[in-house]
Amino acid sequence: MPDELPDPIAAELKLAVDRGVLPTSLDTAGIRAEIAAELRVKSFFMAKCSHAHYLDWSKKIIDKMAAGEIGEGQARTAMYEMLKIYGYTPEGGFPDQPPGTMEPVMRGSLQDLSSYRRVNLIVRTQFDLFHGRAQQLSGSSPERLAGAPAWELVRIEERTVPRDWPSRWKIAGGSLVDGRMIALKGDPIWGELGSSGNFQDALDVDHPPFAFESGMGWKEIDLEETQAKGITGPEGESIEEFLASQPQTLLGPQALPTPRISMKDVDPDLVAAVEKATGATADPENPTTLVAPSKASRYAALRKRILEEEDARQAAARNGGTPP
Amino acid sequence: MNVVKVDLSAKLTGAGIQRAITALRDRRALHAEMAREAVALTQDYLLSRTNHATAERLGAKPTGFYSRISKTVRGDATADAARIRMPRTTGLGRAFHSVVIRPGPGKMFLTIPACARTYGKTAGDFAGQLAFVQKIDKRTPMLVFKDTGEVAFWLRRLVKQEQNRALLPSDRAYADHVSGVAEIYLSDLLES
Repeated sequence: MPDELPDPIAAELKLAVDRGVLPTSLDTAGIRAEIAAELRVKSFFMAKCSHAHYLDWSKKIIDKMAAGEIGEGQARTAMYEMLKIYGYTPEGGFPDQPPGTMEPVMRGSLQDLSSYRRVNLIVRTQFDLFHGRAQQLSGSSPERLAGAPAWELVRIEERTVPRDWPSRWKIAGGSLVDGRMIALKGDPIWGELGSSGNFQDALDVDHPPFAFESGMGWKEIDLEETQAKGITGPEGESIEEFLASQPQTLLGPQALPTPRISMKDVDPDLVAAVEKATGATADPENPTTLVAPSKASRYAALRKRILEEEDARQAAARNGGTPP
Repeated sequence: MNVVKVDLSAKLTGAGIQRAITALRDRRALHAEMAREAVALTQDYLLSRTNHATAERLGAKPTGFYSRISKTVRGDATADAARIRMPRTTGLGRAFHSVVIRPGPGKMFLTIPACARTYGKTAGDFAGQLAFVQKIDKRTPMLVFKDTGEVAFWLRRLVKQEQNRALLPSDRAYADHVSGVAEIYLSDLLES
């Protein structure tokens, strides 16, 4: 029996579309595909696997799962089947690879590509990443930010040996509020919590699950409770001030998806002209798509120009010339 | 008070104009954007300074001072103004006035590094290795390395550092930048 589609994700995405957080020109599958592309950069799951075909197929399977075309169980089955087709064994690796390319590993261990633990880790982590990003998007609409401006980090799945998240919270720069881990949506602490620079098992995302098999998730905290708990922005700003500053998430500003322009089959000279005129750049994931320059990149370009002019003025002053 | 003049060119729509009017009536968000960008400009400026003249003269490795202090710059905003703040300890106040530095309580001298080995360090880092020496004119006290006789630190009872406006971006750079930020911010509101 086919797996049910991951309903929580579909529900979050529908909310995001309904609230105008996501472009309505895409259907849910299209939005799923876009998020899948964002998250595909996290190719952690193929560590120590160098078989190009298997990697390629795995990516396709994960993309299909993220796009809602297949369920988790089907994704796991497809990955097992691919390993069988390519003749993988934990002792010998892939037979078509030169000897010594992959070291023998213990059957059933996390290093064994065909173990349930490994396959499940890949599938679950990707699913959790997708769910976390969808939750982040749906919680980022202006109305939702106004009504529930904070997230609380909570355990959503039990673990035999749970990691010490309150300690991580403090390392990431947070302080506990009545023993709870609460911060405003868009607070940089979420990025710190998911940064592999801080924690070895982190996934470099600013939304749940933050780390491999963390079992952690978000609970929305409403405005009344956020105010009652005295939650502020990272610099002590009020909730209103912090949210008015349109805090950035790792994958872009909250509630404002970056516009994209399809340039498929367009004359290359024309593409170059559009790039020059608008400052847009090719999307690295899809070179036929131009990404409009974000506000952040326009600010960065402005700073660069201002500092170049400043340098020129200082150089002219040193040389006794008239500053431009 | 610095006044920012903004030139806008955007495709105007009724909704866009309404958004811009709302943003100009309550300018906290605009000022927050300006403050954040003024901080970023200051940080970029400090990071781009390769002003390690002393380190270069002594043949020493730069200590990363500017990189460190750039992280301490902060901004804040209200409906009336955007501000940036720098802790007094960064010494960036010298951009606006000269400073006189005196030894701390219980100390007689300031120690000025005189060679690459001591650059970015204090006399305490070389406990037991230094000797106090004073020339006959009694005007040039110093600490020298006992083993080589090399001058480690010049000793001074006070040091006056003249104002150096170039420690921070000029008023013009700040004004140009926040004007540009306001233009981008308001254009986006008008066109989105």
